[in-house]
Amino acid sequence: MSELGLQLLRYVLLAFLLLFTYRAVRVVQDGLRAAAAEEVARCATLVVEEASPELRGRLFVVTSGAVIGRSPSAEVVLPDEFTSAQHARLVVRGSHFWVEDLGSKNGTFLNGRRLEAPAPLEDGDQLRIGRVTLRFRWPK
Amino acid sequence: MKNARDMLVLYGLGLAVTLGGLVLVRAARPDGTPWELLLAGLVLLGFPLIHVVLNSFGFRGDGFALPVVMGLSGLGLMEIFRLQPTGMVRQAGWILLGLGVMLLTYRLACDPDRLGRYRYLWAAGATVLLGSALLFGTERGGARQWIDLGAVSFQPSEAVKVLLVLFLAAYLCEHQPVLIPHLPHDVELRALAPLGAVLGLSLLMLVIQRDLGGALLYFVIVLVMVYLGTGRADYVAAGAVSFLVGGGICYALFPHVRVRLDAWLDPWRDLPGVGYQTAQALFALGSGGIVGTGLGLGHPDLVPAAHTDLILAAIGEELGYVGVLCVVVLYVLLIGWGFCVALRAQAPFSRLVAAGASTVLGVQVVLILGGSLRFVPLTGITLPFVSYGGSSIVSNFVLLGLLLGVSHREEADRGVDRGRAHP
Repeated sequence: MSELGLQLLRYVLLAFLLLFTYRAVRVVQDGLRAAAAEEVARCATLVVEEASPELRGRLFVVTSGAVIGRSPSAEVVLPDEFTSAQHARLVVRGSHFWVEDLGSKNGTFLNGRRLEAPAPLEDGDQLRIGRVTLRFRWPK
Repeated sequence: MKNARDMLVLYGLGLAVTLGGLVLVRAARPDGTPWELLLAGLVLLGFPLIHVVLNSFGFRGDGFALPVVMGLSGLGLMEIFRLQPTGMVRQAGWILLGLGVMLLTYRLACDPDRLGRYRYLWAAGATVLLGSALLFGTERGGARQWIDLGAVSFQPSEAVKVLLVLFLAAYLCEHQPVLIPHLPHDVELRALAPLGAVLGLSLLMLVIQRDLGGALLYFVIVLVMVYLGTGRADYVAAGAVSFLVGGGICYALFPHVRVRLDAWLDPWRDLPGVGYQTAQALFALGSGGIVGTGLGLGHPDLVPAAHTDLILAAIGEELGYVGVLCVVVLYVLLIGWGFCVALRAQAPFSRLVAAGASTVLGVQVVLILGGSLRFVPLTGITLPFVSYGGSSIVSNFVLLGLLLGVSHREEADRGVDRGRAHP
């Protein structure tokens, strides 16, 4: 092999070594993210506090991507006229659950305030969707 | 379980780096035969092979450490090939043996109760090993720590560090209720006495054998594991104070301790004598610069013990700062992985074994990387999986096997629990 080729191989070797290390770091990073998401997703629940009598006191276990709405295909089905078919959605981003409104007619209220943009949820937060009030439970 | 594609990419990259490095070394020094390159490649293929074998055994744990260790072993192989072409073949053999022993250890560690039951056997084994080194040992480099078995020689202190972890984990689990609360001093002292005896005995032997690195390693393992097992900072404080006192006495009594400390504080004062090794390591690292001189183009052969303890200086000279950075990051990932395994484990014994094994790896890395960079005094400790040396390679693979076993056992138990909760 020529001298130039060898010199090139030396730099390629260092680049590959860096790439190897980088990929290993990425694997760990992805693993930590997945573990965090798993931790979050494991134990979040929504408890119905104010609603029609047959709904009151019900408990929904939610994971990332859960849709709240009147549609039977929603994860959290709320049979209430003031709730849209696909009303709001809960997603895990980073280490928190976030709530986002899906363009509902009557809006989603977080602790009494109308949601303009997706917001992170804390344990004990109150969500109002249509005439239904839900308590977000996520013990650490 | 990690993504299989990610693992495949890591194995591929690690193999490519090692083979490229071996080709470069051979181009710079065209002695030796091509089959040596082939041999190194085949040995490294053993890592993915073991991964496949583990999976076929129903391995549920996290095998991320395997490609990382393969990368480190590959770096070691190429630098050893460069410094001692004949040593590379032996090192490759040690890695193969290590992988086999790792598989056996993994099988044993899948049943932690059995490992814990033989705790006094581990303690007795450690004592016998150290004692035999003292009685039948041969001296090398100022330390009397080798047992000659004809063709190969064996370093008992390397096996002892594994036995120490197993004994401490089992003993601390058994006596946890006694050791944690603040009890009347006589009860506490009775429970601590065996710990103190093991510690004192091993340290005494090491002082007589003049293996300072080993003594320091054992001391830190005992302190860290007692803290992890009991959560009592006062034990650690007492240990640290006795370490300082003991270190002071050793400094006053033993010239070989004084030499190490003086070489660390000021290697330039006696450059051709006491400070020679440390100074040569620093020269090698300095001449490497950012990207190094290139494999086979530096002069790491000028550093004493460059292929064993001071292999970092050789890597730093020929692969530069970039190479050293990669080595450090890979160790951080490996040891972090070990502690993650410990944190996920539910059973106290498994937890302590995993934490202890990770501590042993970590302390070795800190002592010898720090020693090579003049961050701490240089003591005779190998760089795990990279340095040349059969006993060191095999015993570190045993630690890896313990961690893999704990990881598998833990995930398997979790799977059972989850299945029960959501049938």
